[in-house]
Parts: sequence; C-alpha cells; structure tokens
Amino acid sequence: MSAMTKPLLEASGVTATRGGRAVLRGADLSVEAGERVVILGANGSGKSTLLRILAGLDGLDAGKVRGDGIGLVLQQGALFPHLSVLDNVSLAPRLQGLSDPAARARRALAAVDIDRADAMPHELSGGQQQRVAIARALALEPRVLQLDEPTSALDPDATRDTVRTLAELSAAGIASVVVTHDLPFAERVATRTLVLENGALSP
Amino acid sequence: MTRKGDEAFAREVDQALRAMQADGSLGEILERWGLWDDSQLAIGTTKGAAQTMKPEARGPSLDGAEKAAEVDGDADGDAAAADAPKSAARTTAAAVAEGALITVLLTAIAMPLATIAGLFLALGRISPRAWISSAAVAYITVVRGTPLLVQIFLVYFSLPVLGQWIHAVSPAALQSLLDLVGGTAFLTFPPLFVGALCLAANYAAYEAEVHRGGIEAVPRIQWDAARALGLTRGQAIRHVIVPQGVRIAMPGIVNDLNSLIKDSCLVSVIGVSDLLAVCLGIGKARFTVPEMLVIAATVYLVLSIAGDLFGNWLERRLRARGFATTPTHAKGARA
Repeated sequence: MSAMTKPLLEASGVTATRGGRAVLRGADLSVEAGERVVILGANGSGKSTLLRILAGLDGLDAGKVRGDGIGLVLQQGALFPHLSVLDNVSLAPRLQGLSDPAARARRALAAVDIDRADAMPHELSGGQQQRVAIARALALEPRVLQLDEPTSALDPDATRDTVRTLAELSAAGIASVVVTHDLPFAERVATRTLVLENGALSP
Repeated sequence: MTRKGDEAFAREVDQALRAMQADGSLGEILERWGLWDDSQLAIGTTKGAAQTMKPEARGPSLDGAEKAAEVDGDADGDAAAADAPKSAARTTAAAVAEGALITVLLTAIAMPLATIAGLFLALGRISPRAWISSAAVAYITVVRGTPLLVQIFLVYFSLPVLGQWIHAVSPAALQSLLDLVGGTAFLTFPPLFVGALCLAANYAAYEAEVHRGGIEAVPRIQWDAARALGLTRGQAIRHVIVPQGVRIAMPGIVNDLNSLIKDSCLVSVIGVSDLLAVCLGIGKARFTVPEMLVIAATVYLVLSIAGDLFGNWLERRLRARGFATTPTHAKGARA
C-alpha cells in the first residue's frame, strides 16, 4: 500500500529441495497490509511447500523469510474433528495463555459469519468448515492469512462466500496469500496475482 | 485346591465379601452387573442399606469354592432336610457368582490400567528421544513375546525374592517400599493384586500397539494444523492427536477387553479364586468337573457378551460426540 509501511511478510531467495528435487529456486515475495496475493501454479510446482515455509512449518535450504503474525489455513480446513467449532477456534488462544479465549473465538467466528459455535465440524458444510478454519487462524490475530487451496472442496456458493470473507478481512487490514489453481476464484479474489514456475515467483 | 499362603488371602476376601454382604454394597454390585438373584438373600447378601440383616441371621458362610463344596456335602448327608439340595444349588450359585465377581474385578482393574499404560508406551514409542522409544519398544517386544502364564508365575514368585534382595542390601529401603506399596514381609502381595497387575502389565504392551495404530492413523494434516496454530509438540499430542487416536483405537481396545475377560482365568494358577478356580474347585470336590466347566464357560460367555455391549456403548458414545476420521463435507448443507 503506502511506500512508507514495511511489508507484513517478506521472503527473498527462498530455496527448498523436496525428495531430491529443487522445488523452490530463489522465490521472492513481499506482502503489504490489505493485499490479497494469489499464487497460481501447476500441481507439484511447489505452491504448498512455499506456504509451509512462509508459515514456519517447514525449513528452507537457503533464503530468508521475515514476518510475524502469519496464520495458515490448510487444505479443506483441517479442523479438529473431535472439538466443537468454538473449541477448535479457542484452543490455540487458550493454550497460548491469551486473555479470554472464548470471547476471542466468538469474535473470530462472527467475523466469518459463523453462528454455530456449538456444532461439531462434521455437522457443517464444506464452506462453513473453511470459514471456521479461517476463524481459527484469525483468533490469534494474524497480520497475514495464508490459505492453501481454499476452494478445492467447495461448491460455487461457498467459493463466493470465501471471496467475500477475504475481501472483508483485507478491508480490516489483514492481508492474504492464497495458493490455488482455481482460475475464476483467483480472478475474483486477487489484488495481485503471481505465478510459481520453475521454483520462482513472477507476476 | 488352595495353595500355600492362599488361606490368608481367602480369609481376607471372605472378610471383605462378608462386610460387603452386610452393608449391601455386594448386593448393589451384583445387581449392577446383572448377577443378582434371590439365592443371594439365602446367603445373607443385602441390597442397599435399607435392607439390613444381622450377621447371625446370615446363611452358611463361604470360604471360597471348597467351603461351598463342603456345605453342599453336609447338606447331602442330611437327608432329613427337604430343601437341602435347593439350598446347596443356591450355595453353588453364590460361590460361582463370587468367582465371577473376582473375574469382573480383575478385568475392571486390569483393562483401564492397561489402556492408560499402553497409551504412554505408544507415546514413548513415537518419542523423538531414542532412549525413550528404545525402552518402550523393548518392553512391548519382551512382554508380547513371552507367555502370559510364564509372566504371572515369574512375577508372583520373584517378588518375594526381590524383597529379600532389597532387604539384604537395606532393610530400611524394603520397609519404606512396603510402606509405599502396602505389601507384607519381603514383598508378598495378595494373589488378586499380583494377578491384576500382571494382566495390566501384559495387556499394556498390546494396547500400546493398538494406540500406536490409532495415533498413526490420525491424518498428518492434523499435526500441521496444530503446529500452524503455534501448539507445541506436547500440546498437539495431548489436545489434538491423542483424542483422535484413542477414538480410532477404540474398536481394537474393546476387542482386547473381550480377550482379557477370558485371559484373566490364567491368574487362577497363583491362587486367585476367580470364576475358573471356583468352578474347578466345586467340580473336583463333587466329581462334577465337566458340568462345572460348562457352567464356567457359560458365565465367561455371558461376561464376554456384557463386555462387548459395554465396549460398543463406549464406542457409540465417543462417536456421538462428533468424531469423524476425516473432515466430512455434508452434501446439500449450505452456509
């Protein structure tokens, strides 16, 4: 956005090898507040690997990643099936000793329009599960939200809801990085689109 | 039939059972487990506190299987007593019920212990610390690789020897150990205690493998989700992985519960008056071994079916609390 603000997330020269193959070869990425960056790429191009590295789940062979407050929403939400919606969202704030985890969880759920706090994940539709997963990340108040293939299991209505949710979040200053190969979704959600090819990101 | 050293234990059990008969708790237990019948009244068991019987009013006391057979023998000799065979049958039924109660008790103590210990063994097995995982693997391998019967004998006969060794090194150490675990001289414990512990220790090794299967069946993405939320490994295991793994492991654990009910009869070799020991005792005293064994087998069958029903109920309860192995996407449901 403004040239004065520091990027929320900055990665440079990210290089990673998976299974003996150089998946990422010097990928650079910089995300500023409110941006919605979509990363497109063929299957196996290293999109998920990049997200995992940016979120700190995986290590990298070379390069630098800077940024804090990065939330990650995994494929199909990956909700905890044994916990209620509220418990899914409040678990991490509770374990991290944040104040009033239940209130945080309710705020996060309200932000994604979920009012079924007591439901179990399997009682929700795919789209609702996806939004609960977003709320689960939001409860930790991230600056950047990363989503891995958020629409892979969604019908068109739920996809539209996801687009709206991400737009609302970016209006609130929360940037998003979305990895997808759903082109129509990418066009609707992106403020900027990058393509991951040959291990590097290009506009 | 009772072994050396067993008499004291038989007396203790009798005392305990008599106390339970008198205060009604035995009646409640029998009733809860569906073992109550009117024959219990004949031997002075009461149901609940409201119905109290004076100790003098009690029927013939039972000193395990042998007494039951004795009483029966006396009754047979007394032809004048018209209802003698009937009361003998009642006494036998009561003795069998007592044996069944011991079998239920063995299972009820050993299975929860084995399930919990097995979980910790499984977690030890997947520990990144090599010495922990090696120790867990060693335990599981040795216990699963040697006969339960040998383990029972070995533990039962080794404890006093171990006690002697400890005593030789430091009598004070033995005393403080005895104070801690409550055994008598040289680490001698009631057979029921040792038997339940052996069963628990043995089944723990099997439950460890069942739990491991459950934990490994939790989708990898659940670990990722926990880590992405900043949970530590321990937090992820405790709050995310184990609750799901246990649910996946439940059918296997329920299956082993069924096994344990029947394997528990092995502890009769160290003098536990369980269902098999009681039935065999009566059978030998009256020359009705085949009949008594059929009765024992039938009661085991009933207990095993009861165990299955309990296990199925437990599984249903866990499922009802919203478990699905993979996130399901309800079709047709709309946001």
